[in-house]
Amino acid sequence: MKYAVECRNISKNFGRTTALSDINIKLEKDKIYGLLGRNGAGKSTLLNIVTAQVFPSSGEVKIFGETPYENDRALRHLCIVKESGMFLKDVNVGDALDIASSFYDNWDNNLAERLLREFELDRRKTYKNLSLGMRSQLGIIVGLASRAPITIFDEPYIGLDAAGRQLFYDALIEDYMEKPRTIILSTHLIDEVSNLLEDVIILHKGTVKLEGNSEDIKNKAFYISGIKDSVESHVSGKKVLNKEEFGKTMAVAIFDSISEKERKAMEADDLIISSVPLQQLFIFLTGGKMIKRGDMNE
Amino acid sequence: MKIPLDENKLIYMQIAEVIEDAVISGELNEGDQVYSTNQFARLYGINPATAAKGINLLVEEGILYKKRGIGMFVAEGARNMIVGKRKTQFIEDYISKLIREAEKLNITKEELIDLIKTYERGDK
Amino acid sequence: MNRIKSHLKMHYINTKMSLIIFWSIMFAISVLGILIALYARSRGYNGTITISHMPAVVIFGAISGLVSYNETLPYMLNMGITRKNFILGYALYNTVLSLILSVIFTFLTLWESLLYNLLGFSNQQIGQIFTAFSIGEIFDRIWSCFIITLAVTAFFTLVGSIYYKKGIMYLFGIGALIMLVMFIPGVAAGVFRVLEYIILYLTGDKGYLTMTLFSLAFFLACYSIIYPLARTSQVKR
Repeated sequence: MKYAVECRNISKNFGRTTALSDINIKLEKDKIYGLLGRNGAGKSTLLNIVTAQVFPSSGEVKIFGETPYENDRALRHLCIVKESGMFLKDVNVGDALDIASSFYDNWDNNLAERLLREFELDRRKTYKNLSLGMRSQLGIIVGLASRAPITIFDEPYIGLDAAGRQLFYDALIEDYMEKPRTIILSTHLIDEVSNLLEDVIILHKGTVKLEGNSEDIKNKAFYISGIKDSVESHVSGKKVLNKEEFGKTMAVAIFDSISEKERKAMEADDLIISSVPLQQLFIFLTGGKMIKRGDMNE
Repeated sequence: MKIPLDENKLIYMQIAEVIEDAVISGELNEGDQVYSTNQFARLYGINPATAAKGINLLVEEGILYKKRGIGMFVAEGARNMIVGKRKTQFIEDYISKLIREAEKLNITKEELIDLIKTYERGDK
Repeated sequence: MNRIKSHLKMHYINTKMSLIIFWSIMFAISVLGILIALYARSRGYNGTITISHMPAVVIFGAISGLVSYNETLPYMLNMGITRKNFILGYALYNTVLSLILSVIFTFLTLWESLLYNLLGFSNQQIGQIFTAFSIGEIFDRIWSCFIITLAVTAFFTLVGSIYYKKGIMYLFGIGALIMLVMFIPGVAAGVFRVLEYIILYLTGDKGYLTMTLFSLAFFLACYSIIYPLARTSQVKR
């Protein structure tokens, strides 16, 4: 099977600093991916490499099986929208959309017009006179209306308020249902987007920390709380992300699956089990704390 | 507007529960068509694949069945199946907990039964 | 091919505003020039009034080559165009722009010549202006302006592409190196002799074909350096 995006052993150095090291990921067709990482994790660098705008120091990228560098056919599958914006500063909104429409093969003008109205963006305004939020809106419109088989949004919401972002998320899911495609949403606002994502890739300090189906991941991360001794005996042998004690009670976050039998045993001992939200899991994984296997009694 | 979900629970399980609740309450009768994946996705602002996972869970359990090209429907006997499943769950979740808690408080089983019998719902 | 068409459309949209503003200013200057000439004549001045918009055209071409390369390369790469197609489109844009500039320039000069003639100035009083008003003369003007602008635009695109790829320090380095080489006895004199020869070649009565070939060769030479630079250029953000 051909993957929409495949990264094989991608590394990138800027001088002596390593931005990415040995990234191996495979993104399937028509899925929504979340590329999650803190600022400086290497998200933008990776996406620039995927779109052949930046060259990797080593490794290779495949877009539907083809190398994107200087490959018109592969590049036509891609649309990337960046936080920093990538528009001509003297061109107005209407003209920017006009230009975009001639570059993206699947461009949907009705969608662009509708979003323009929903965002209440003035098409006569020149890009340099737009506020940060308006620039983000323009980027979002281009990204969605491009309907490119692989659409990448790299933190596209700078300057947008919560309502504006919600409008984006709603439009994204709506149009995705109408025309499924591979969408990569690079973000650190995880709680806002976690429900939209089918798969997530957590990037941390230039490496892939975790990757997989978002529900499966959620099904492997639990809070277990109760009497300290009881908690400790039940989680021994499990990967522990974090633990906190208050007197005799203890709350532990584990990153491991719990079998039905284990769950019943825990419940019988009055332990409370709940899922760890993706945002919280992300913080545990990227907060610098090491994941230790078992050994709670250290 | 989106209906908020409990972020401490798996989304697809919540979707399955929503459908089960609708069948138990009679909102959905056997043979009725269930919301589509896309309708759930729109309603809750979730990925359609996640909604599909919830629906498929119920298909595997025989609570829903698929009519090709039309959609998902509530199977015959779905209500009984759900009630049966919920009863087992009820025993596990509530009865066992109730008994354990009662033991801690030195309430005998007889006293507990009496309590249940004489308990009047506060809201009525 | 479709990509290059879109590319040219982008340049058209990006450039049209500055073209309009630029030529409005040129037109205003030309009107001002006429008023000044009339005023000078009323005060009894009888010398030569030289009008030439040629330097302005060349400057416009130079700035455009320098600025728009740096602005449009990352924009186009972000739009998913190949570097090869970018350079093809850019060279085409350079050519079309030079031609458009030359046509406007020629018609501005033509308009001025007619007006000066109507106002009774003699051809001796005003230099750089139409004398015969023939189709041949118009073509002559357009073409000579075109090949010069084309060469200048290509050169400044080269400078722009070095700047994009290597940064400003590298350009300064090249500048310093040239200065250094100039200090070697005889080199400066030699370079100036070559330049003199080139200018004579261009302005002298050498015929279109030689001039055009000369400009084209220079254009291609510039692009043969620009192309590998662009192929290895990356987007900075």
